Amino acid sequence: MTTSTVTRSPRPLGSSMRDRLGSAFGSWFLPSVAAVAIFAIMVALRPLVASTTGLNLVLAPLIPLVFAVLAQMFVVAAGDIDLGIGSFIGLANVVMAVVLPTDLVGGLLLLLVMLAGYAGMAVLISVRGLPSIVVTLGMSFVWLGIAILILPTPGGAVAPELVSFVRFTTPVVPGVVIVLTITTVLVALFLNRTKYGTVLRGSGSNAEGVRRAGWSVLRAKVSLYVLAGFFGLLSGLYLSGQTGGGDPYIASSYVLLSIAGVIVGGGSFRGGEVSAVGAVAGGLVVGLLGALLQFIGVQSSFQAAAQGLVLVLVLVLRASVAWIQKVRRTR
Amino acid sequence: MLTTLRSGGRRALTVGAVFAASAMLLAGCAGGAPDAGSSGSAGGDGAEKPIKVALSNYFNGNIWRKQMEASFEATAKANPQYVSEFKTVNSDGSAPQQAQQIQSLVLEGYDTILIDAASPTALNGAIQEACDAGVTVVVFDSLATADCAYKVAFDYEAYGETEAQFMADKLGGKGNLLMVRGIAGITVDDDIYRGVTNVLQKYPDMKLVGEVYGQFTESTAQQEVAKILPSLPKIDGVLTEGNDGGGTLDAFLQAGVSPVPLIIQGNSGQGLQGWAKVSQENPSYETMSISSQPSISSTALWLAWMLKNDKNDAKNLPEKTMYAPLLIIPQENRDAWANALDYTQIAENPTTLEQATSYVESANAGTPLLKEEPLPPTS
Repeated sequence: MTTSTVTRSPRPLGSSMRDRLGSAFGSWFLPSVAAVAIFAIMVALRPLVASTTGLNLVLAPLIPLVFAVLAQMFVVAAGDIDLGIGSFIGLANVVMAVVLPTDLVGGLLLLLVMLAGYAGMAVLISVRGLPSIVVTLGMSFVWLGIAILILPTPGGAVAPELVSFVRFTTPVVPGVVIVLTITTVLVALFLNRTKYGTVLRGSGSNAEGVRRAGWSVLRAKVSLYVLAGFFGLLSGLYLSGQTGGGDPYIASSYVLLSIAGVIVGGGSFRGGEVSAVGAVAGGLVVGLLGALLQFIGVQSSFQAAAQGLVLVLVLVLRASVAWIQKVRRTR
Repeated sequence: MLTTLRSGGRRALTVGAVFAASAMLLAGCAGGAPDAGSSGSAGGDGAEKPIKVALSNYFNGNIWRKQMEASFEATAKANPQYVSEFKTVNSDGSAPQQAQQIQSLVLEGYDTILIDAASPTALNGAIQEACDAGVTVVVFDSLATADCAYKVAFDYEAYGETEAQFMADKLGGKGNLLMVRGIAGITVDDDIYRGVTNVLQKYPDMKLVGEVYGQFTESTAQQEVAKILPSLPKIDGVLTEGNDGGGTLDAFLQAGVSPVPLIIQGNSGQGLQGWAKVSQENPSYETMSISSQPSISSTALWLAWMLKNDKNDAKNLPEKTMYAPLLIIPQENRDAWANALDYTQIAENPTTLEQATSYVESANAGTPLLKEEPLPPTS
């Protein structure tokens, strides 16, 4: 049951895009419902969560995670997996906490070099046909190594401007909601409504088709990786502003959480099948679960196991929905 | 795989679900009376208020951390007049998740949060927000640097100095040393190592000929020491960092080294029992045992209570920092502790309010109590 993509060459891009939109509806829906449900339970338990302060407190720590999930989503869209995103975000955090405050130009240059590093990985993986898992895992040690060179033990201080930028909020609408909404809409529009967004997704699921349609597969992969790197930097930016200091290991848990977020959000390792709304919702589900279990009062020793179980449950649910649909259609 | 919910009926159903969810949300907003955040202000002036306290621990995968959580829970449970409600959360090694947990605890209305921090810097934002919301924050053991948080620390530099000085005295300032360190790159390891090197500088004939990382775990220490032993000259003494002396001793025994070098023990039942056994065969074998106490969580709990009730001038602690004493087991206390502890247990002195008060007072007087040599608790 492959979803239709640009690859059915005789058809023009436009009509296949309409199919894409149709199938995208299904993949983002379940995680969105799950995220809303978890949030509703939290509000029911603690009404304060629904206040502006409450929303800021609950959602703010999830923003870096959501950006990390989006970064992972672009790599998954390319049909790859990024095991280096955690250390990459850690390095971004260290650069922003240690280098940027003292040397603005040098720091920005370093961040650009990091982006170039992602482009380089894409070239390596695409041209030499190397497995992305190996390349990104290897690079994760490079990112971590550089971060430890710059900052051996956690420390440093992020510029106050950056802190206030990240903490920005309005009295009526919490800043975190604004950031989440704008990001989701922009990424979703780009992936689903622009021509190049469609090409990018197509390059992950059927590279040959994209090539025949006259687009450069290499360039598409580089674009996806640079986008991933860009969202990794954004994640680092928010982490830096929120914590106020640098720590090379700060985002090590994001590697698996971001993958979980993409998959819960309806993505598939086969490439091409991703949804921006789903990824954001998936990130929220993965992140809110911990808070929810804490609210319910699950004992600390069981929290990790319970979190894992619920994630598996969501995936089982997703698989059964797909199965039911298939059965109904074939009947 | 994930395709459309094409049928109209299903779409209607899903739309309904969305509406239901939003309705729940709205209901939540409407009923959003701020029941949290206001720290329990019941009770008249001067009356002692119990605290609603949460412990945020970033890792509970080793025996020290388990005892630390248990100590907090035991103290909280045994003192309902001081603690009205308590809870432990664990973030499984992730700093961002711990930050999120701290913010959730604020929303849940805890007026006091104790934190064993995943990172010195990564939680500072969350801690500051908790302080801004009127929550009393006490960080302990693995500290965070946030200005508004009170700190309960171990003086790990004193740890290193104490064991190295003991070693130098016993060996007459001469000999080959092996050091079993904790985990690379964490501040505990840095501080102990600095304390050790401070002392060793004064004894040019004492040479550190090898270093391994034992991860504060007896079994790991045993494997690492066993691996490095064949490459080393004769070892006269082994410096350790806690919960690693017993495994180190086993590694030497299994390698058939005789006589066994002087190994500083790390307060585990395994280490103390091993030390007692070696002493039975060789009465002249003397060493010491030192480590941090898991009951520091109870010390932090008491400090939080003092802060909430404005007792003992705790608010004016110099640099908002007090110390929990390191627990030292000298030769004469060894057998008592060895009998009191299980094989895997770590020695601790359950902190009472009186003890915590004396720690605070000594810190306020500028002479913090950094070490103590208690006998095991009798119960």
